[in-house]
This record gives sequence, structure tokens and C-alpha cells, in this order.
Amino acid sequence: MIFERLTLHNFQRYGGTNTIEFPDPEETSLVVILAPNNTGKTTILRAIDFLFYGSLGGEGSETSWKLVTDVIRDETQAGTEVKAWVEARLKFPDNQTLTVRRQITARRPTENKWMAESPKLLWRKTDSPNEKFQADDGHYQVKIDNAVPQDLFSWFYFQGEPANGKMGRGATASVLEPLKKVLQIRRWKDARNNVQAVIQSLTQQEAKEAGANKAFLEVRHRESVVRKGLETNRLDLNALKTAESELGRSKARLDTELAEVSSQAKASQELYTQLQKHKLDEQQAQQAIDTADSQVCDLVKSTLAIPLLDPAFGPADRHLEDLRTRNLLPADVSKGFIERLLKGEHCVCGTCLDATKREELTKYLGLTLAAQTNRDLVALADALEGGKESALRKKAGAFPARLTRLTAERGAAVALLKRAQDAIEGLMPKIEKASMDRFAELVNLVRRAEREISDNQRSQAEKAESIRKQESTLASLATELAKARPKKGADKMEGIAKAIEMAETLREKLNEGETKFRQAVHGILQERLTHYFGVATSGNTAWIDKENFLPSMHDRNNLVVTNPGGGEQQVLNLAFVIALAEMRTMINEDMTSAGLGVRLLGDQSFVLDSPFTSADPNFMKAIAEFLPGKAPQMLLLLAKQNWPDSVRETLAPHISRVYGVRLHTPVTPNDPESFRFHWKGNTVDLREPIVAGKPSFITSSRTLNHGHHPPSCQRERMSSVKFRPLRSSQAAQFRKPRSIAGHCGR
Amino acid sequence: MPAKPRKAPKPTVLRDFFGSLDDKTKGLLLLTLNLEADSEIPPKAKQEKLEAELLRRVK
Repeated sequence: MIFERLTLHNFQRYGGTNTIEFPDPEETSLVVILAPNNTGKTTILRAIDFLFYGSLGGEGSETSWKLVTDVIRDETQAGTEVKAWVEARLKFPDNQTLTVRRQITARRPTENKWMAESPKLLWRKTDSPNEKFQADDGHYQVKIDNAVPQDLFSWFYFQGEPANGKMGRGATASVLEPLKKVLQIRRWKDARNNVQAVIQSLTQQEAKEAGANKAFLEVRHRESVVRKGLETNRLDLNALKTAESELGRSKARLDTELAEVSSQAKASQELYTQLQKHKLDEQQAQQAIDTADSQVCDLVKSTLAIPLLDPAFGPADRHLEDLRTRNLLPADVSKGFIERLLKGEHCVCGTCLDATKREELTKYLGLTLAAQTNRDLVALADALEGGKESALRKKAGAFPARLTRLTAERGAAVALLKRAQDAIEGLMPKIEKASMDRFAELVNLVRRAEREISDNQRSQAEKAESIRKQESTLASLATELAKARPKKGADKMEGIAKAIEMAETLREKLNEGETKFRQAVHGILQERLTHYFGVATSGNTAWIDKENFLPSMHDRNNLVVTNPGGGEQQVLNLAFVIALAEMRTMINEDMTSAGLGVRLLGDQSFVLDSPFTSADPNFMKAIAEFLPGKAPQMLLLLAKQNWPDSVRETLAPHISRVYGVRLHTPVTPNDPESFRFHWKGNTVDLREPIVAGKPSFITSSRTLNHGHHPPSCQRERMSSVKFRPLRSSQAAQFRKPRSIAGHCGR
Repeated sequence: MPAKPRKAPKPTVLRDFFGSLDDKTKGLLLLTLNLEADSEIPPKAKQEKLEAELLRRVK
């Protein structure tokens, strides 16, 4: 059911007449209403609920006068009445277009008393004011109920999250029951019960005809038992086939992922080989650096002193010669030894150390050297004497070249180390991504699925064999039955027997048909949900629960995501709502084309109140990208927080009309910015200041622009929106918009 | 350009199912199911109507 127009007149916060014109759904589908917070977005949903079903939002019919706008009631004189209504021009699935209005007539007999009659549904075929409204006798109420069953209302016209955010979390909102009602699933069961009753009745008639013929009745009883067993087996076989098909689909999904992970695993193996090579390079480079460092150290240690000692060679030579002359070098006694002798009484030769000897030893002590110094000097003397000086000089001469070579080797090793470390760093994330663990897990899952399929096929073969035997038994029983049939009234009994057989077939086909129908309903919903959810997200997948037909998210390991992000959950909700409507229409078409008498269902309009609730900026954009084109008609009710640049820019090319809900109030808001909305380069303030002391607010709507008309027409439209006085006596205090129907050639 | 609703391929599960039946069974099945869609006919009358139809067809 599609809206051509929706009008609220004195309904709740919408004083005066406020009209939303919808574009032709063949052209465009998206209409946006921008409204500051607490100005009546949800009232639009309530208004539609009221129009369709007479819902009074908690009020009784006697207090329905409370739905009339406060300030309008305040202005109503005692002894008079005031009307409020919600009216729509609707296009029904059978292409009939009708204007329907649900109206409240509130009377004010005295200053402090209000009365109201039960709100009435009125209709007229044209939209012309010249045609009078007629009271509905129930016909059009049924028509509305059929097009949008009340049970499904909240699924198509929802506030923020459908079913108060419980959807998808398995809590309260099963959609299965309303769906069953809409798709008339119960009729299959009722039909089966009817057929069963017919079989019983025919069997009783047959028994009556058979009279005392016990043999015939006994065969008939046996046949009935076999037939029941056959029916059970056939149902079991169907269930097994369905299970096999699902197992096959599940295995196919696993196979796909396995192929993907397998190729990743293969790639991972190659990456791992590369990693090993780089690690070896890294190790070798480190060793080369260590070796070069060590060699440089050795080089420095062994040669660095040579150039420094070089000038000292001459004086050192002379000094050593002097030491030798004085027989002090090589010294075979050390300073410590002499000191120890002086501390004792005797010399090492056994003679007593007298004063003269002590004086000589003391003098000698002054010429002795420390043991290490002595050794070094001896080594130096040896070098000088043995002609090693030239070797050392040569070594010192080669020092710069060796140092340069070692430095170059070290530099190369450092560069190799860096390359190896960079390569390892680059490889690690790739290796982690191509998880070998998931590969092993998938292999196990596929093996398990294969075993289950194999078991299923074995069971199917057993059932098929059992069915074959039962069919054979039934064939022989039919022969027995014909033989046992009494001669008297044989024709009549034969007719009854054929009718029973036909009814049995009918019952069987009803079972089969219902199974296929249920699977089709689930299958289509699943396919549509996957299609729509897949557009907006990645990673997680969407599934329809077979028990309650609600959607849920599964992760890569096929586990239910129990705590999804608000944005992703909202995408799932929207995808489900749209998939649900589409599936409903598709099944309806299938039922009709099959010859089943059903009420025709058509395209569905959606009114979505704040669909970006709970979404972070990324998901807001994702939802904005998701919504256009998903339904033939969509009305979005958005507050300022739902209208950021990203949403506006994404939706803009798809929007056909934008309306603003203007709040008339004497109160200066804390956050004036929340009333300013940007659209097409303009900023529109949706707050209309009024004089203090007057009733606090009234809401009205105005068109911001018309997206698909040329700029001149847009300007005309912007400037043409005027507000006329609500009451001449209160001019300019409370204003309501002129009806905007018919603008721009529409 | 404004996005247009994407039309999915139409499912034909039921049409295919009924199409797979012989005319006699198909006719009776539709009759049975369509009888159930009529909420104004009482259950007993539905049973009698189906029974009479079955007996009529086997003659």
C-alpha cells in the first residue's frame, strides 16, 4: 500500500492542516522530514496507526478528544465542537486509489468538560473536496487490514529500532505468528484436518456398507496401518532430503572458505619459506657484523700503538742498551724479591746480610722494575733486537687498508640485516592472516559435514527401501481388499474406497506442499536478508532463525554474534524489515499464480523514525548508502543528530522531497543550533518564536524544497511557503502552514 | 539518479509444486486449500463439500 498524500489536521502536536505529498513511486522513492527533537516525528507514526486501525495511543474512545491539539482545544468555545483527523490518499494493491480519513469530533459542552464520539473511518473515491466523505461499513477497514496487517505494522512503520530494539536478540518480538497469519500457513494444517475428517467419514461409510464382512474390514484396517506408516516414512524422507540439502549448502560454504584459507595457507607456506630465508640472512648478517667488529678490535689492538710508539723507538733502544750495560736487563730478580731479601737476615746464598750488603741491595732495588714492566721491556727489546720492528712498521702501514675493508664488510652486513628485518616485519602480518589454525579447523568441519551427509544418505536409502516395501504391501492389500469386498453394494464400496485413496493422496500432498511452502518462506527471507545485509557490512553474515524467523548475525566461525555493534545491528534490522516486506509480496504473488485464493498484497511503503539511532558516523553513512532504492516508498523522520554532512550528502541524490517540522514556541532553546538544518546550501531555522505567555507550542510542517525541480522552481517553492493566521483574532501568534499540495505542477 | 528498488527474481515454489501434480490432484488440492481460506463456511460444511466432491470425482 502506497501513500500519495498524508494529512494531519489538529492531530496532537500538529495544529491546523499539515500535508505531506509523496512523489510518484515510479519516479523516486525517498522523502525526508527534518524535525528538531520533541517536535512530533513519532506523532506521524501514531497518526498512521490511528488512521489505519483507530489506535488511540492509550486513550479510550470517550477520551479521544485528548488527541486534538491542545491550543486548538483551548480556543474552542464552550458549546461548540472541533474536529481533528488524519487523512491519506492511498493506492491499494489492486490499484484502487482511495481517500480515507479517521476523524475525531470533540465537543465542549461546558468550559471544563469535553466529550467525543468513537473516531470514525470515512472514505471518498476522489480527492476532490466536492465529493463528500462516506462512513465506512467495514469494507475499507478490512481492505486496510489486509494490505497492512496490524500485527506487522511496527515492522514497516517503526521507531528507531523495530520492536523496541529486541529484534535479533531473541527476546520478545517473534515475527513468526504475524507472518503465519499473513501467509495463511494455518490453512494447510486446517486443510489436512479436513481431509482427515473426510477419510474417517468415508471409512465409517465403507464399514457400514461392509456390514458383517470381517475379512474386508480386517484388510482395510491393515491397509490403514500400512498407509499411516508410509506417510510417516515419506515425511521422514522429505525431512532427510531437506536436511541433506542444508548440509550440502553448509558444506559448500565450508568448502568455499576452505579453498580460500587453503590458498592462503599455501601462500602462507611460501611466506614461511621466505621468512626462514630472511631469518637466516638476519643471523648471518649479525654474525658478519660481530666478526667485523671483532677484527676491527683486533686490528686496533694490535696495530694502533705502532704509529704512536714509532718515535719512541730510538730513545727506547738507547735506554735498553743502558740497562743491559748495567746488567739489569733482562732482570732475573724483581723489585718484590729484593724487598723480601731486605726484610730477612740472610742472603739466598746463606751468608749474613751485613750493612754493606744491605746498602748494595737497596741501591739495586732502586734500579729494579715491576715484573710486568720488566716483561714488556724485554718483549720490546726482543722485537727491536730480532728485527721485528720492520714487521710492526709494515703492519702499521697496512692498517688503513684493512680497516677500510673491515668497515665495508661491516656496512654490507648491517644493510643485509636491515633488509632481512624489514622483510620479516612485512611478512609477519601476512603469515598471521593466513591462519593455519583455521585451515585445520575447516578441514575437520568439512570432514564432519561429509560424515553427516553420508549418514543422511544411508538413512534416506533405508527409508526409500521401507517405502518401496510399504507401497508393495499396499498394492497387494488393494488386491486383497477387492477380493474381500462383498458382492452386495460392490460398486458403491469401490467408489468409497477410491475416494478414500484419493483423500489419502490429498493428505500426503498437503504435507509435501506445506513443507515446501515453509521452506520457500524461510529461503526467500534468508536470500533477501543476505542480499541486503551484505551491502552494508562485511565479516559477519545474517541468518534467519528457523524457530522465530528473526534475524541474527554469525561470525566467521558461524557463531552467533551476541553483542553486535549498534550500527551493524541497525543495518540488520533495516535489511530484515525490507526483506520481510519483499518476501511477503513475493510469496503472495507465488500463491496467486499457483491458483490459491489470496488477498492481493502490493508494494509496501515504509516510515522509518530515526533509522540512524545507535549508529556511529561510519555506520550512519553505511545506512544512508543502504536505504535508497530498497523500497518503492520510504519516509525518513530525522532529527538534527541524524542529519550530519555525511548522511545528507549520501542521501541527497536520492531524495525527492524534504519537509521541515517547525516548532512555534516562546521558549528560547538552550541549543538553538539543534533547530537549524542545512539543505541544498541553505540553513533553515525550524523554530518559530512566538510571544511569551501564550500556549507554549504548536507544530507545523513546511516544505524545504523539491529536490528534482530546477533552481527557479525551488526558489518559488521556498518563497511560496507562507503561514496564515490560525485565528484572525490571534493573528501571527500561532501559525499553520498553507496546504502545500499542488505546488510546482504536482 | 534516484535509486530504484531492486526487483528480485520471483519465487515459483508453489506454482512449480502445483504444476508437478496431475490435474485431478491439483484441482482437489486447490479446492481443499481454497475452502479453508473462506472463513464464512463452517468446518462441517467444508468437510461435506470435500467429501461430496471426492465421491463425485470417482464416479
